Amino acid sequence: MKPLGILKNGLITQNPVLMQLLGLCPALAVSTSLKNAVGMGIAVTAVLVLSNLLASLLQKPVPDKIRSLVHITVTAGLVTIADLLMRAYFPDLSASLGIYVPLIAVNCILFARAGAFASGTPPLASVLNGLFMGLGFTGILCAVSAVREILGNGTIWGVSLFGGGYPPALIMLMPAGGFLTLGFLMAAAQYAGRRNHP
Amino acid sequence: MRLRGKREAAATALNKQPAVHPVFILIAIIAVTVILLGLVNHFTAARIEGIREERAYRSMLAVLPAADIFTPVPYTGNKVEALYGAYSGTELLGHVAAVTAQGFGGEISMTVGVDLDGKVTGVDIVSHSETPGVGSAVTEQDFLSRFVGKSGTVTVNAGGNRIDAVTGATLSSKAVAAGVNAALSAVASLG
Repeated sequence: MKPLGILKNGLITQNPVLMQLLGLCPALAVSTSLKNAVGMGIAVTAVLVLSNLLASLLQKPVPDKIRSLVHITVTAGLVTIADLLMRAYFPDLSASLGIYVPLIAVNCILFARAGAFASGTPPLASVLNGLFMGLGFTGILCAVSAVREILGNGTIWGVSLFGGGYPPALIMLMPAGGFLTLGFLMAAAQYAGRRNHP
Repeated sequence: MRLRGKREAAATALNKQPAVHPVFILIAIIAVTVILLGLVNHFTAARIEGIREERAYRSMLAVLPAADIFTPVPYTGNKVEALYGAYSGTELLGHVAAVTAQGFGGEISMTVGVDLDGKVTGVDIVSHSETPGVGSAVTEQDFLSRFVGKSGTVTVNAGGNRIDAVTGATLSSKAVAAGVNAALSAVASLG
């Protein structure tokens, strides 16, 4: 697949959250503020790119029988390294995201991509695919967080928008609000998709 | 599966056996991963510990600002996680307790400062899982400052030695009060 095709695939047509419905747990859990969303998105994208690269490079030497085990090991290793680095150099973000950083390891996206895409493709294509899937994930996370933070907290990136008088819609910060926002986004995506490909 | 079996049989027949037994490849990959993890851990451990200690120190300063050194005090009870003596230079000003209480949504970790008269000097919430916007209001000084000056056993909403709970967050408020009471009794037991 050409780079532009991979870009469109990762960001839109096979967007991991809206289209493939992967990574919903962390997507809903950390999307209560834009800052958290960007931090989480960058971490996931970084791990995804490296995980795909390694999966692609290890295609030949690794026999089919142990491919899954190798993917799990590599992914868990990468995520643990990412977690340690975050705790050392970005402690506030690490404290905000909490347990959802180590949980990236079981983020379905990684698994689906390493298994379905990277195993049969050359390294560069795998890296690009990881990058754009990660960016697609980050984009949706940011969209959901922006809505939830503005409506549920009256702020965006911590900056108060409406002054003290705004009574926030607290439900937006709770799981129900996350599902609602995501549901509307998915509906909009489906509608847009159908208009372009009737 | 059957197709794969045929392909594997054909490959084996063509003498394309795997060069190295899969187990050894797996062991090699695990070994590399473990070594890398050990290295990253080694280089970040000191910094992570430093960050944790600085957080704890800042929290203790917040509840007893007059002090600048906190040294652990041997404590064998089970009411608080740890007790520290708060000193300014060599002068003992009071004590600070690291307490964990059961809140509405999980554990609440807090730091409580107690002066030499057994009165609360300050309370700081370090971590919690209370409901955002509702129970989380107990982390604000609006509520926490109600404990300052209290001693003995603090009650919530009723009783002589009481503080008022945050409206709509009685359970979270009671949890913080329980933590403060644990700290007060632990310091009192030091004698």
